[in-house]
Amino acid sequence: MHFQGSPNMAEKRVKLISSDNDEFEVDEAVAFESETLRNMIQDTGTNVPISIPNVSSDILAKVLEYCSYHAETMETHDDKPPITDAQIREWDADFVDVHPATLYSLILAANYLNIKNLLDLICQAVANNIRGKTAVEIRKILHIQDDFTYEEEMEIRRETKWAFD
Amino acid sequence: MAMAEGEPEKTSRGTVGFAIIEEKDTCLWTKLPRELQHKVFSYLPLRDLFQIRCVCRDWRYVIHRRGFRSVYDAMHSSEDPSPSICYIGSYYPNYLQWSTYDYACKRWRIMRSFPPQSRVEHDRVDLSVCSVNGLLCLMLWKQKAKVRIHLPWQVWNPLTNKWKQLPSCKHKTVNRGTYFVHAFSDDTTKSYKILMAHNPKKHLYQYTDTDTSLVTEIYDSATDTWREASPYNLQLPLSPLNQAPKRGVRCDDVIYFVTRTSNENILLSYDIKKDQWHEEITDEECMEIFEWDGRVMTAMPLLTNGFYMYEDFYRISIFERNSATKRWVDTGIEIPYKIRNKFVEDEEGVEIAASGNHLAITGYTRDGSFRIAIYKRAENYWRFPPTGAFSDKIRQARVEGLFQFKPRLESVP
Repeated sequence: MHFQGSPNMAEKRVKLISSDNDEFEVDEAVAFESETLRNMIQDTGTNVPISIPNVSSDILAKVLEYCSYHAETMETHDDKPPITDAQIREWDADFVDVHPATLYSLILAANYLNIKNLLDLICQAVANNIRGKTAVEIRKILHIQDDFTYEEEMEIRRETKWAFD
Repeated sequence: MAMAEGEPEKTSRGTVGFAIIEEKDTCLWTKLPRELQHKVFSYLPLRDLFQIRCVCRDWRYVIHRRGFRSVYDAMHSSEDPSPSICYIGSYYPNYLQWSTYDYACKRWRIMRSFPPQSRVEHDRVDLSVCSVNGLLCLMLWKQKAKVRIHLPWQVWNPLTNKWKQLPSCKHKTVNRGTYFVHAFSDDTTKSYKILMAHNPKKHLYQYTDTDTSLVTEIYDSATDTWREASPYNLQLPLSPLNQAPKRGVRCDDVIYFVTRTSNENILLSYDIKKDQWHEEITDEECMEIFEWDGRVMTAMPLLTNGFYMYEDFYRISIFERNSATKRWVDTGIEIPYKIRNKFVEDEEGVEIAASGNHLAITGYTRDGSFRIAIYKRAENYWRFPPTGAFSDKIRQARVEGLFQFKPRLESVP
């Protein structure tokens, strides 16, 4: 069991192995952003590399980039001014400005690793991608099959007419 | 929006189908577990949530899934309720429409039309709408040979389009006199209740000393029945000019109504917990009351002693009731002359609804149309947002008034 603020905490490193067998080494505080990793580390310690079989290297790198930044924002340095909420929001906005396919892989990874803030951030980003788009555009972006019959489509148009003005 | 009108764009189906075959490994949406799909949808504003129902069958039914509805309601529970207005079309059979104000887009949007069951073929039909827990409670009544007949209440969730007609209450046919109505939620039983109180009168234009009884009935959605509350005798008969049903204002466990005797304004209140009515004489300028985050408010002229002659000799300010002293206290929020001058000062007056940072005023304007003014408290700023297409249709129409509406997918009539 490791408690935050213990003197050797900063030196503790955790090894993670992605689905393509790449090894990542991060500070324990970074890994602790993930509820799943925190539980695993508390069970098995930091000596054994932790394998994450359903997250690929590029996605895991991205997730760890998020975790590192957010772990860093929690730290206080005497020589640097603290990171403001506005700066964090800006960083987050840049972070989710990626290809939609990456976003979907990130959702699954954030869900599996149980990183609540990251999951919220990406779900919000995906919702923003959908917002204000027509059904045809959404089907194209998300590769969804239009499975309505003509009658169903007319009915739903009547039902939802108010939502379109 | 391109999808809004015209023929469905079926031509794109082939292209989309082809794309799936070609890039089947990018078809990621369907790989998301349902709970994550729901989480994404829960970030959408209400209108987008309904627009995306056109995408595919699975998305169409998302608003009916119990798991999703509670997630969505919880996500949006902290938002201010939006002021809404309701009007009847001026043609027959009566056709009901309503509109909500979107603070983000600063415009009024017409909502889904009331269910066809709310249309009535009679001449001289009027209505009263109350909003509770994301439901709209509608009471229609008709005037026939000086007798007013109330039709059974209809309760409707406009989002899921589920509606229900309530059983008739005992006092559904009334002759004359004032009616007091209010819908409120019971947080302990998660049900909604409707209060109807009636002060029957023998003559329409004449006082009778015996016209002081007040009969009260309360509907409880948990049991789907009306229950008669304790009878009450008013200290003085109410003015025969009180004709249309009056909507109440709820603060804590008390519902307030403003009414009149022959020469005084009365603040009439019903204590839900104690099942007790109470009367007090209130300011003679206090004609309408409204609720603002749990406080009883009114708009009244503020008399000034200074030598300055204002443009119109007096100012109108928003007052808050101090429940300890039973006095109205000036909040310092003044309705500027340029705002109130737009509205006609007749017996219908204006209606006010307020919540959080916003206050909205509706009423008829001098040119016979209908306007809404919005006030932002933090910015101390008044404006007339554009009403869009709504204002053209509302011309000459009868308007029920202003109320607060907070959408809730989960509420069942």
